[in-house]
Amino acid sequence: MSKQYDIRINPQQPSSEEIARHKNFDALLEQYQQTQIKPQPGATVIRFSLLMRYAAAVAVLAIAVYGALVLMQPAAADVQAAYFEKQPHILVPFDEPELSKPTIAQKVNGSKGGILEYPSGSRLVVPSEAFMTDRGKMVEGEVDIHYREMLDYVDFFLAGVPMNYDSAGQRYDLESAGMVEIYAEQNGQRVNLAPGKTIAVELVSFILRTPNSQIPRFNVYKLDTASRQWIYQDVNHLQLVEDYLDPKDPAYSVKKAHQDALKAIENKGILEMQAFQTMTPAPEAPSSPQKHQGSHPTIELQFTDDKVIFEDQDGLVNGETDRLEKLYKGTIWQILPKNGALDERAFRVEWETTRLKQLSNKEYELTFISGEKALKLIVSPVLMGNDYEQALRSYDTAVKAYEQKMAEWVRLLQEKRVAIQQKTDAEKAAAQQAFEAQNTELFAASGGGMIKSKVINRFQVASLGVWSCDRPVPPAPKAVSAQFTDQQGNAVDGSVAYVADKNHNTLRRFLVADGVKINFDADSDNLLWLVTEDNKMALVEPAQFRKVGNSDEHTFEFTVVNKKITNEAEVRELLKFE
Amino acid sequence: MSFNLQISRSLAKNGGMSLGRKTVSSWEIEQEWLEIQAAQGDPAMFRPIYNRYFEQVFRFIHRRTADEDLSADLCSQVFLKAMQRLSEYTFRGVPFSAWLFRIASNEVAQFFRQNKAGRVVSIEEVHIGEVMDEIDEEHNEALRNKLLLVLNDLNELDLQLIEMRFFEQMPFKEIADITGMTENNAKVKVYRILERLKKKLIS
Repeated sequence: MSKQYDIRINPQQPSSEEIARHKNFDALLEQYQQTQIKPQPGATVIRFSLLMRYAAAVAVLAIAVYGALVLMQPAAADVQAAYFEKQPHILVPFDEPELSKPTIAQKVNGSKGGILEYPSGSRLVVPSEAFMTDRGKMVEGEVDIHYREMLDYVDFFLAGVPMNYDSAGQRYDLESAGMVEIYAEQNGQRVNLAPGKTIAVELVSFILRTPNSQIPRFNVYKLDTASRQWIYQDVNHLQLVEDYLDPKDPAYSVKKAHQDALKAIENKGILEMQAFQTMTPAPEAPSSPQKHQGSHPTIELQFTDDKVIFEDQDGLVNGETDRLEKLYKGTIWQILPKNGALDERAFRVEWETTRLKQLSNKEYELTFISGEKALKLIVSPVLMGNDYEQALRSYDTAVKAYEQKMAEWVRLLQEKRVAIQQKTDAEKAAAQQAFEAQNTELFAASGGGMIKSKVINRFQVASLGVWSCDRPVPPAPKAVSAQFTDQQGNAVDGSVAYVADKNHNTLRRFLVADGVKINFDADSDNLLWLVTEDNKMALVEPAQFRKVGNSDEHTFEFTVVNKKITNEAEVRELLKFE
Repeated sequence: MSFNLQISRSLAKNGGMSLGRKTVSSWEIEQEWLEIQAAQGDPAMFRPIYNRYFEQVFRFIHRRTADEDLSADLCSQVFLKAMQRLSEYTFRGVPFSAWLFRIASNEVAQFFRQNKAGRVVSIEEVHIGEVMDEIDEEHNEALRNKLLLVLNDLNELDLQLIEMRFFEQMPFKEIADITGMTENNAKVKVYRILERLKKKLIS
């Protein structure tokens, strides 16, 4: 007899205290975070191109910036933190009401609830008896639901929402798939959501992503203005509606053709998989034998006397009586209690035909027919005594065989799925590569290869306030120590400035100060701006960011737009990427 | 026949109850799912789950390694893998611990496979008696020693089932959750293994 185990009797077990000495979640978290920073296989190409562009020195800087607190030197970080701590957490840049993102007000009956639809295509589903007052009284009658969406960097800027997220001492930017603010009033008085009630939100928005990439995962956060942080609530159920191509984009027709070609490759893979699944049906699971319950009446059927007609679940008559006789050998048919009280006279009748139709694994419909008379019963095949014991043993063998076949079937399907996916990915990657190589100039003119995808975010709001569908991303890799001047060369400081980039739907804000470290994505177009005391805007165009190159210091020159800002359209006009 | 009755009685006795563990209610499982979802969004939120299960997972591993440092290493690997795969974890109405034990079981098996060594099976003397009771055999030194020998003959899955059921006193529900089989299937399999053990013991 070989010894394959080391069997130990009454071995000493460590005490709880001894075990606790090995417990260290912080170390585990750090280890986890290190494994997450390692480049994923799919990201190799991007990382490689970055290295090519900035060379080793910048890569080392980028990694160093990753590992440390990234944005700022400790002293500068303290100054920044101290400044923003004293500011309202929602920090609107303009005082004028017409420059804040407006809400849309719609009425809903507090008792009945209702569905509210918005011009963007978004919807709110408000349940009945959803609101209550501060004193806990249920709100009846009309309730005004105030709703606004914040979808892009201009919205985030005008609404003044923060887009940073701290987790375990690590700072992240929030990249957004859209935000909403919802509040409710009755007669001008705020009301709250009643405990246990939630409003279902379907927020139509967009996300930015590179073509041919997976849809990133977004979470749902609620802005807690008291603790001044975003609080994780749930996973965002995001549905991709369509990839949005801007018809004004000079590369529109080329991009559209490419998008269709990628879709065709994907569809080909889907069809191939469907065809394979049709050709490779799943093995049929054996049915477990049922034991006869002594208290239930039973019937015996002979399949070989031509009086029993067997129908399958689709109602098709199956004439393989020999097979059925073998299949149901020893089986008796137990009349189930759901048939109700039985009239015993029915069993004294000489029935001409018997039809048996399978309803499920365990239930059959048995119909006795004689002329125009028919009696329907729901029965279940059962076994008695030795027949049952024998069937149980056969079932055990059949289950083992089935499990083996099933494992083989799953393996086959998985292998095929992986093979098709790999082929599809390779074809898409080749198409993408060829497309990029052929259209370098077009890309430059249309601001890179990012595409906008229209999506629907679905989530539940359990309290009123600001909710977002975001994902935390590490700060942009390029960090530069910045000085700021105006057009006349005068130093600028003491204002809150904002950085947006074309490829990421986020907004970074910081206090302008000499030597402050700012992060940006050097692969993207970046725009920097601030609002002057007299409600004008001062801008730094993307060209200045491109001049930073490999340097870790740069002086940015603000150009003040000599016009007082009065509405959102003017802000959008100034902040658009050319 | 008396043998069958003996088994059935015992299966009924312990069928859905935990002997040494707290049974997890569906409400607790749902609450835990909220914690898991939070941790899926923010790994730092995994801390309460880690704190709750660390000792259980450590003991699970230690019973299979009998080495404190090795147990600590493997335990750390288990939680790291759990965090790495947390985004794939979906709610199936079973305690999260079942998932952790399954990872732990794989980690232990992998370790011993790589090191080409037989893993440890920790048995309390009192539980050997319970197995003997279960298969309706008398307690004597010779049979006891023979049982240890025939246990050594079991394949890994069969041994795991006996180990979890008798040596770790897990309810069938928990065994089913960990091994991924149905509760009924777990019962049938344990019954069959006991039958085989009995045959070998009396041969």
